[in-house]
Amino acid sequence: MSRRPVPAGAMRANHIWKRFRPDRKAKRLRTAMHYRKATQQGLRTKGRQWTWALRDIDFSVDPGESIALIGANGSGKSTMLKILSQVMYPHSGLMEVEGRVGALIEVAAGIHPQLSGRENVYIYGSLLGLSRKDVTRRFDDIIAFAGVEHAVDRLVKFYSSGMKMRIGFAIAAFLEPDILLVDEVLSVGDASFQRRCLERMSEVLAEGATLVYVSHDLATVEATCARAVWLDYGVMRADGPVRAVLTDYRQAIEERDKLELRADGDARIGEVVVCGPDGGPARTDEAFHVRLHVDAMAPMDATVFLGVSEGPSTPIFSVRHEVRLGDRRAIRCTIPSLPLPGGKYYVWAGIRGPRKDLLHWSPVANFEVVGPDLDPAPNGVVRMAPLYTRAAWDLE
Amino acid sequence: MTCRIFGLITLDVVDWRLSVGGPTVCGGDTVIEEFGARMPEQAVDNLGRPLAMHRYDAAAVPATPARELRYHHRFKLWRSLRELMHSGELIWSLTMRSFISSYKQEALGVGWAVIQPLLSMVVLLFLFHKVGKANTFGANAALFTYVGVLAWNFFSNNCDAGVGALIGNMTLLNKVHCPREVFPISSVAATGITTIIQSAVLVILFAIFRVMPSGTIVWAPILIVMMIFLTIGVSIMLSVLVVYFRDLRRIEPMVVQFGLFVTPVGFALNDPKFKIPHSWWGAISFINPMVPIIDGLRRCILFDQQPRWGLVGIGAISTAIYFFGGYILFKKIETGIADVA
Ligand SMILES: Nc1ncnc2c1ncn2[C@@H]1O[C@H](COP(=O)(O)OP(=O)(O)OP(=O)(O)O)[C@@H](O)[C@H]1O
Ligand SMILES: [Mg+2]
Repeated sequence: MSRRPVPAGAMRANHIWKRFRPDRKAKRLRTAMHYRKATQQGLRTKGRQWTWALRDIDFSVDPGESIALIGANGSGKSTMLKILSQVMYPHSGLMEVEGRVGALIEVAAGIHPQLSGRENVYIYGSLLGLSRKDVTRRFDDIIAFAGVEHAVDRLVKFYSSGMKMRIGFAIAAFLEPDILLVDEVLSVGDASFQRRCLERMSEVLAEGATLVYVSHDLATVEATCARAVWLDYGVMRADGPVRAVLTDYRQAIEERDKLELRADGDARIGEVVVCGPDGGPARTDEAFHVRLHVDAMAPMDATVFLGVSEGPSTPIFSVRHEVRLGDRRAIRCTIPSLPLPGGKYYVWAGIRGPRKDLLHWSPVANFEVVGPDLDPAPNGVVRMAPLYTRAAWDLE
Repeated sequence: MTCRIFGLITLDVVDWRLSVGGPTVCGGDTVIEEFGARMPEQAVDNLGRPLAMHRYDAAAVPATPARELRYHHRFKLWRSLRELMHSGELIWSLTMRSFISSYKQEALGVGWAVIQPLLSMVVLLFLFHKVGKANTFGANAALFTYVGVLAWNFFSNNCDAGVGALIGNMTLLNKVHCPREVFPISSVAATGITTIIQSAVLVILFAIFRVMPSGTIVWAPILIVMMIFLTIGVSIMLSVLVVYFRDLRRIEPMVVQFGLFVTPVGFALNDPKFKIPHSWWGAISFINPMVPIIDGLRRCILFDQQPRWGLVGIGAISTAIYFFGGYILFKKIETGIADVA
């Protein structure tokens, strides 16, 4: 562990380890007695079980960098943010952080419910070490951004959860932080506020601050951060350019919930074939074929839905068709020009009978599209789903 | 057939073909080779510097950290105290906030600060002087009791406030890194403001009973400083212990209640009626430094006597132990506050 001086806005996590004791209740007398009995009966090993929430996390962030932490639920992202903001201490390793940290970790954190919005702004400012004058200078910006002008003198406990989040974000993002930590709380806000938050985050970055952003909304991650660290149940799996890390991450999710063809409905899908022109790989802007084998219990009329998604989520597009099902039918769907850039995708299928779902909407195959990368959206702008379209540019 | 994507682009599907029992071409997961064809451009970070991709093998991470990596919270008493000195503004705003918010929502407001010790005084007067016939050694019984109540209230109210100082501010202190002792300290300061207001009542009582405080009152500041340090020490210790041991919330009021009767608040330490043996005084003063403090305050404000310096000395040693002990304990175990909060 070297000890070079760290410039403001820099962070260095040196081999951070953190563990928690999950059963806090063991402190209670009755539980303790119950445990003793269990131990005597050999039902439980001695000593309380610690579980590692973070293991050997090691990365450093330079001033002005934007970095995202991604990972499944419970993989230790919020814990890492708490250690970054130095309110939580690591078990092993050393966390070096230089500069003022503005953090929005939980909706409630940093906001005192028994204070008015105005008092919260000032208290938080003084917690950050700002003078009253500095806070006053920023006060109107904060209130205007949060859109709570009419409620500044109302106690925060009477705010709606969106308003709490708004004022929490505004306080963290406007009080001149050197480092801004944002956990996934933005999802509480409405769409227009989310967009303004993302804009504000880019502004803070442009002012030279460091941004650490945690979200499950991978599209916003890609839009705001250039670099990503992927935490997988407490260990670092990748650290690098956001696109490459997201690709790895999505792939791991894919592998984890392996595609299984569901067989619980009245109809079942046998084989799925996905191919491009002439049976080759799917290609951008060229013909695309999906072929399904469907078995139904009895002949019946049904509607077949097909969709394509990026990662296991809502489809980028979906199509449907009415068919008469029977024993071992093969259905082929052709899309003459596939509007997808290169990448990895899923085919989803669902079958709806006259009265009920014969097959629930579920992923049935994955495939790769060979083709160009999508041109990036402007910095800080979230692209909804990858959609390839030709464009002709003229200069007159 | 067409379908709409985001209402912007229409996608044409030329054919949905249906056939019966067609041959199988390949299985569920379609794997397509021929991927490395695209050459990804060199990735850069938002500062325009090239960014390399690092992949790590999760299995390579050892199960437990190496011993030499263990993080030790290096606690340096003087550095912490200096950091605390720099948090003046923060302490001040927290103090004002808790002072204002504790009275804001009440109809009588700051009036309670005045009424509460007066009521305690009346109750103690009744108990000890009407019923118990305690000896005030010639001093006005109301003044005699009020001086004790004033000091004891400062101490006991701070024990109560100390218990909530951290657990009531969890949302704040789990967000920003700051010296956490500012929370209990500012709660002591807020109670201090209340006590100053209550002292004004003492001045009025002096006027009402046409008594002048004695000249030895010049010794009072020494005792007051001692009391402040004792209170900070106890309150800081309670505030952090209760985070780990919540039952303290129930125990603390009972102990404080009991303390009111074993501390000479309503009676004099040397009251012959209560027969506290002389040989015990030292030990009592060591365990409960509020004993020599209240006794001393009363002697120098009402009786024109110097405090009992022997007992005050013992109390001072014990106060130092409470203060530094409480502070060091606080700094030692504050590292885990965020884990259990
Ligand atoms: N104070 C605590 N006491 C005990 N266990 C904890 C504590 N805080 C976190 N954990 C555990 O540590 C693990 C990581 O939690 P963390 O909140 O960091 O996950 P996360 O990556 O933020 O997840 P999410 O995406 O759901 O927000 C979880 O298993 C959680 O139960
Ligand atoms: Mg989280």
